[in-house]
Amino acid sequence: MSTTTHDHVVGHDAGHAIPTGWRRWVFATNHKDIGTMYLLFSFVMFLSGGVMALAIRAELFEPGMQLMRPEFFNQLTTMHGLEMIFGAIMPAFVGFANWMVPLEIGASDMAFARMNNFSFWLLPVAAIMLTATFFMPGGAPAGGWTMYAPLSTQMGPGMDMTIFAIHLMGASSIMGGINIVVTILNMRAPGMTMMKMPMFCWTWLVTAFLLIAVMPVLAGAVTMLLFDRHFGTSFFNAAGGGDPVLYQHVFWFFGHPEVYIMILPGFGVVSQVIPAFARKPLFGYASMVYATASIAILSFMVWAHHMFATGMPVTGQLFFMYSTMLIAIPTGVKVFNWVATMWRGSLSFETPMLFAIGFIFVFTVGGFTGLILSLAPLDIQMHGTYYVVAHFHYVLVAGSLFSLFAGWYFWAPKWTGKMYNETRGKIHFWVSMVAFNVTFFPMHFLGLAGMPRRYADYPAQFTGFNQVATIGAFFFGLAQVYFLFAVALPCYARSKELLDAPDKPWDGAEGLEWTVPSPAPFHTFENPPEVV
Amino acid sequence: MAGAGEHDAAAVWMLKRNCAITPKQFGVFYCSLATVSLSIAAFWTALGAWTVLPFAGIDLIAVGSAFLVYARHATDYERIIISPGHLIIETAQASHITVIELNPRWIRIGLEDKPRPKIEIRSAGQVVLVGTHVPVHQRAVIAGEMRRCVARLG
Repeated sequence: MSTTTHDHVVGHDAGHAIPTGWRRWVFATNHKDIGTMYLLFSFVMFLSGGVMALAIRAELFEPGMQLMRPEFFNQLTTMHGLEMIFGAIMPAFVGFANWMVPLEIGASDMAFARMNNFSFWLLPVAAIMLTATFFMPGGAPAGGWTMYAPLSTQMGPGMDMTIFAIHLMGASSIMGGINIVVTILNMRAPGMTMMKMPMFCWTWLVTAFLLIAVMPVLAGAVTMLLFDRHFGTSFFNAAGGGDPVLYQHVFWFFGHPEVYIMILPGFGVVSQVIPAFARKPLFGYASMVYATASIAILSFMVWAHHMFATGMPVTGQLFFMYSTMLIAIPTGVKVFNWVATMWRGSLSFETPMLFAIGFIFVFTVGGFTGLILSLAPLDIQMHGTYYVVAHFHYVLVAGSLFSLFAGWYFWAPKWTGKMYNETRGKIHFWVSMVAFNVTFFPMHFLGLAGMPRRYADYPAQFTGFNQVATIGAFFFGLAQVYFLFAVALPCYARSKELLDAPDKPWDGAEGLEWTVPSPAPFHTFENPPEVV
Repeated sequence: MAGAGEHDAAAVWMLKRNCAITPKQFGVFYCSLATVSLSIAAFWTALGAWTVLPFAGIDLIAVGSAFLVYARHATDYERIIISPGHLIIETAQASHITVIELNPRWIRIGLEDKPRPKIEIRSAGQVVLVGTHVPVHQRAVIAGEMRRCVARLG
């Protein structure tokens, strides 16, 4: 971890007029403002996707159709996935990157401030287009977030809007990735060598590399869908000489690295939170960096484990099975290092630490079920069941989302200048943690018993676990509303009831971001600090 | 980044932006990215999914342009040397170096009359602006240092 010899307090905001009113946000070029807009956008999408999830769970509370038509149920499952992945998780991590990367490397802003503005404003446009598909003839896309052909080639015009929205979101991600790469590589403060960088920056550098490498694959896949739909090609139409399985291969070649795009920055957040509250340096920093890079490299070699049930030669099954199992090694290194960092540390359990430990616990459960699914013979049994739904929600909700919450509680004092209410933070954590497990743990049993995913109805034998899951989901949703109104908004509204945050609210925290005042001034590190 | 030093009765200000990577390292990073991205695109093109290739091309052009725009100015600097009888301003911008020599006895140093002003060095109708790479709040300080140096040495 780095230390600095620079006096950072002097000179912030000197000689600058800070823009005000709507222009500050619409024409924003400041990394902190853009970061805040990303976080706000992602939370809106999180709520939108969350409402869809609750509608799905409400319908599944009892067997039979109660609240909606099956077609609409399918639209909800599809849009829930798309909005949560492309609208909530990815932009939330980009928001964190915008806020924290310049502050952590001692840079004054992102490398391309105007491109940063553009890449953000593409997102609301894409989100509106995506959500507007509900009101189009035929409704929203209903073939699942993976948009498999031939379902997607047969759907209404909503699919075209979705394809366009995905192109826009992909362009936004690539621009965001370029900005982060150039910022991290070029704008590190003197003395901030690569191996002194905070883990969050490292994980984002690797993530940005992944984004830039795989987004063209997604763009190519959805463009082929568009061509098949409107331009007479037969990429995925067997009758025209095409192959629908090709779409699955191309999609998952993007889709699996995408999983790591959504979790690696979370690893970075947790790797900074745990040392701060264990009051010890991160155990095995170098191995963490190499494990991150290893996960990224392996992520290109495992895509077809999503397709064991589609069919492939035994050699292919073996290759993808073993390569998938290999990912457990660098991931295990990370989990080991987090636990070793806590070992004999002077631990305290403020909300960021609770979410970080919660992350380790539930993410590890998700990792183990992933290992089970990597076994081709087992996966063929479990493919398309609720076991898979449980697995990826353990990884993405409890993994990505809990790490995002850990990061928010950790850095919100720096962003808002206010200490959140610790009691309310803990209530948020415990209700989220319990409700999450009540929601998703029974899904393992449902999946093992054979309940298929993406079905609006089910046999009566599955009623009990579904009812438990639905009750848990509503409590989980309420916990997030509680977070918004009782924890986050009072901080952003600078409530007088909350304590002012000191420059460094966590005594074990290290890094350049804690050397600037709280809230971080509009301009920081205009003169790069010296890191020793 | 700004730095001033005095030796042999001359004062030197080296004003440059912070850059943590050499153009060569940047090139290596870009080549690794291009290799991965083009290999992926070529793989899918060979399997019939040729639409990946143009997007990979657009992607790499965008990344390359961004790298180029940044790297082109990464080594820009302004060096101001004030010695008895000479004021030399050496400016490097996108590998183009210009050197201007002025007589310190006939110069006036101040700040532009604009928002976010640069340092203005005037001499016999000629105006040279420096301080692009210095934070705004430091420009007045550096202009003051230069004025004092000129008064002492000039």
